[in-house]
Amino acid sequence: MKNCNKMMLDGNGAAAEALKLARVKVISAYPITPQSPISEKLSEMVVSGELDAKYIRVESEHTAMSCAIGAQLAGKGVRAATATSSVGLALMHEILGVASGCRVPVVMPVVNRALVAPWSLWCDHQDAMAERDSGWLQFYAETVQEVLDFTLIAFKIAEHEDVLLPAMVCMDGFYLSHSTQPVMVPEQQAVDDFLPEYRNKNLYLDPNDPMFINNLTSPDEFTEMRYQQKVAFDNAQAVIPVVQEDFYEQFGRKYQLLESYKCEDADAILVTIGSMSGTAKHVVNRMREQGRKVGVVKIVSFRPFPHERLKEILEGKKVVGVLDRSAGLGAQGGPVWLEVNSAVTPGEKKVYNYVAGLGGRDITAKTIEKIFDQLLQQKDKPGVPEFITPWIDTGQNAMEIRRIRKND
Amino acid sequence: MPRQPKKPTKKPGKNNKPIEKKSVYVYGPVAAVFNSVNTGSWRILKPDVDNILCIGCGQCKTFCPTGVIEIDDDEKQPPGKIVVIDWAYCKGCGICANVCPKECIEMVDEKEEK
Repeated sequence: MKNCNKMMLDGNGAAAEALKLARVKVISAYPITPQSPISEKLSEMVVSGELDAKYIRVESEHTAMSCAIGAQLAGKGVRAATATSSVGLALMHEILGVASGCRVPVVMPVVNRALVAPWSLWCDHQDAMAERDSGWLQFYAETVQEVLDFTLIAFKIAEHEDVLLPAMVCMDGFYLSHSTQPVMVPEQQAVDDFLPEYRNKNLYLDPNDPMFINNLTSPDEFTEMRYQQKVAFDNAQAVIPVVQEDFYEQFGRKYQLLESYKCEDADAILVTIGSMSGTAKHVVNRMREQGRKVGVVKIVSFRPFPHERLKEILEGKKVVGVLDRSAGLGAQGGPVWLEVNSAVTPGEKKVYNYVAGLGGRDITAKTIEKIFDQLLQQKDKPGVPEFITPWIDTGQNAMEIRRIRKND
Repeated sequence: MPRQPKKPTKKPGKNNKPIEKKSVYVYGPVAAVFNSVNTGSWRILKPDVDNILCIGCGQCKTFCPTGVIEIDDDEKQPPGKIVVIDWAYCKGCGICANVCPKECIEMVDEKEEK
């Protein structure tokens, strides 16, 4: 690999390494499981002098994001870093909108963890999915290498003058954040070439040239402000592939808005997101050895959602499944399914929704094989979803567990 | 809503020197004309300082949430100091009157002629 050295890192380590390589100057992070090692590693880097940055100890995630926005806007501008997870991201909710509305291109690793209740420390995507309309770009990593690479790529996309949107780099809690993998870490000089020093290209805070940011905006202009953000997301669809190509030239690793794996001749396709994609690809290889033609589409960019590219890949495919790692309570299906279903031509194909891997439950090869089995059975009789069980890894006794009879 | 003055209350820039404006467009909820930040127009009561009783301790300056109070030297006043308030931004909250150890700040009606 070009301009890279091999290191053993877990997802948190890779995120901290990427923020260091991007030369962040201000860090305001509040520790939360499973993100804590990012906060800790960054503070160690600052103490050892390895990273020239100011570390602000904040009292909450609400403040962490507020500090990051203020720091990034100050003067000529610096990159500000924070990272969070689960309820921490939920507590940030209000300020996430400030970052995106004020077009401050903060890049933030999000370590995916379930939301309460029930209390859980473990992985699912509900935290990030709850923020899917907050005006942030969202990229989901499959491997630790992707955590590092997507973070560097995210800076360049977010800071592009046609985009100017903040970005979340989402990694699955524990499955990526705490799993150690070999990672090709780019050299600082190569990163500096790829990612030049940050300069505020839009709003800035300068007492000698004052501007009033985020003032009360009347109904006369609010819609237009939102429309500007919508245009930025449209622009991002075009900017992302260009930046990914730049990254490929510099470091030799190729990425796309979404990755199509053995889909060309597939009878059934499963759309995945995050670390489950690796397991799904493994199952595809195994099933193809048995002569069963299946494929995987991995969503890399969930915001913006690459609906046109997805439509191209799914062209002519009759059976498509979507595996969501969040419940999408009250909706007709999970959030990824809703997007995929809207991307395909109505009536042309059936898109089946699956929900699995909630609150840290492992999405095993067996679970994915079960999904492919169901999808392949649907191949010859479209529109009859008799075998489909959306909550594919739910126990048979779901309504009985922890049921307590009282006051007898 | 209180009526805002048509002209900016203060010229931007240090020492009121005009700024050389960079010709760039910026996007987002932002205003560069400061017509609407004259928070002094919200004032209903205003602090009236008795400069004879005042000892120039600066407690009002310390506690002012908007940072509009300065303690300047003034030889004509008994303590050699005078409390100066930026009326463009004083919202008349009354905190200065509450913290004054000499109780020499009184909140008076904004419209009252003194």
